[in-house]
Amino acid sequence: MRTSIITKKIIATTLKDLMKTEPFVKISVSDIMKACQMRRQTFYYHFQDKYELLEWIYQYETKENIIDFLDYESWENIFNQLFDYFYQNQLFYKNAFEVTEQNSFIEYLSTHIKTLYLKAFEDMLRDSNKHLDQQELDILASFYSHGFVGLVKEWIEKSCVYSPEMMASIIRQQVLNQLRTITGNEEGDLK
Amino acid sequence: MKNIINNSNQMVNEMLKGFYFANQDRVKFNQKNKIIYREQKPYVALVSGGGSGHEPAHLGYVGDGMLNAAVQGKLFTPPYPKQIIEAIRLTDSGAGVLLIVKNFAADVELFTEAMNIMRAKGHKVDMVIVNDDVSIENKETFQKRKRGVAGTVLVHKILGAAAKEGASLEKLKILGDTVTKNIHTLGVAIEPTIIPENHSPSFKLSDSEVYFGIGIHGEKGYRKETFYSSEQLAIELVNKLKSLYKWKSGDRYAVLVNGLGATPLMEQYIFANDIRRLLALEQLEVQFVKVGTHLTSFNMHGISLSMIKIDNPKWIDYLNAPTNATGW
Repeated sequence: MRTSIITKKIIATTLKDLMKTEPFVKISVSDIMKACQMRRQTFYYHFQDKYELLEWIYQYETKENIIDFLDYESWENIFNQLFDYFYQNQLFYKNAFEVTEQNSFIEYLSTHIKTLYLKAFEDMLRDSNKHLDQQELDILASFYSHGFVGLVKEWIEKSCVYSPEMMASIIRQQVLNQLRTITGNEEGDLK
Repeated sequence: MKNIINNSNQMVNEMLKGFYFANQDRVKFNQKNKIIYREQKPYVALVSGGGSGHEPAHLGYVGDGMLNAAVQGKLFTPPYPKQIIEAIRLTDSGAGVLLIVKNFAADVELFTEAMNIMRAKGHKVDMVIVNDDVSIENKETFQKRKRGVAGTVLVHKILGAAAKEGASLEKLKILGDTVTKNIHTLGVAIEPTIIPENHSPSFKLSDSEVYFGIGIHGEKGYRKETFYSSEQLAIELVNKLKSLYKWKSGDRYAVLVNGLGATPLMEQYIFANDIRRLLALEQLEVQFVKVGTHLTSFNMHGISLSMIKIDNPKWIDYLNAPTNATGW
């Protein structure tokens, strides 16, 4: 049977809702499928177990919110949307970080965020007609993406006390400052 | 590419004659100016039009409770001001005329010229410019393209019902602008448009690819990717509209699923079912749904999703109001 992405999304949303009030370890596949009014077997058509489901959420939702927007929105707006997304899903993620069996969140988010940083750098370098070595860009993007993931994780663990707007604004300013430094442009004519 | 035509220079004329042959019980036909219209009514007349090739838009929306006239230009080319002037003259009963124009530079310019000429002659004329296309202009600014696409049909329907109720020209203009602000449309193609005159596709797309964000004249989209399923298209379009509307659970919407010319109804309904599941997941209250071929890009195989955020329950009444327009 060919799997349905929308069915996966429905199952994922149900797990996320349950995780707002219940620890992940206490939620069974039966609980999830009862809550979304689908047959238990349907779960196993789409996922091996609840750990695979959790991993799918990390992978799919970060892709949906980052990679799928790279050709549609400016990098600044993608950062804004991303902080909104994590803010809205903070209870789920706070709970998910407690699951010690996996750490794929960091892996998926940092990979996708690295792509976003590369886009931001490339956009700004294009606008300023400056060139930077690809290796240097790659190292910088890695550095920032790991910093970003750590920052988001800590922000969520501390219940998002700073607003998503403030977080996005600081990240944006950081990217701009970094680019000004490496291109030697202190006049601020980078966008 | 084969087309069921005789002569590409006569396509629009012959189509109009055929349309009139089929619908003469409800519409009139001014052959010289390529106008499909109906007899004057004692309320504000709605006139729309544009290039041909978007059928059933706009001739199919002439009818009781929708448009009073549609002015057809050549394929993908807007009509001349003299044609629009004649449409205003034919339909203005004295209550005024509202022009509904898709936001393309040439369309807006030519309709504005006609409006100004007729205003100088004492007619009350105003214009609503529909700009629902939320694909992007380019990848430097990512500004939204804001051309007029399938959402124009929703504007025809809502304003048509309001005009029939006796709304003044001023009120219809405000209603049209308000409704337009609430409509977003995004389209996707799996095959490009190929027009009979030059036989070349409007853009290149491999057999395995899909192109998101294409326009109704073959304007480029924002991303090509490997095609897998209807679900993939529905998810992409819903996610993009969600990012613009920033909706909350319980928000009220109407939905138009539109085939772009060469899309079988079965595919449109399959896609509509995906939209149904996704909007249920978003917990939106979908108060009106329309599925069908409503505003096309000639023979493009593709689909568009239009949504309108419902700020006033009256808009749903207007969408549900009866009409005998053949295209609705």
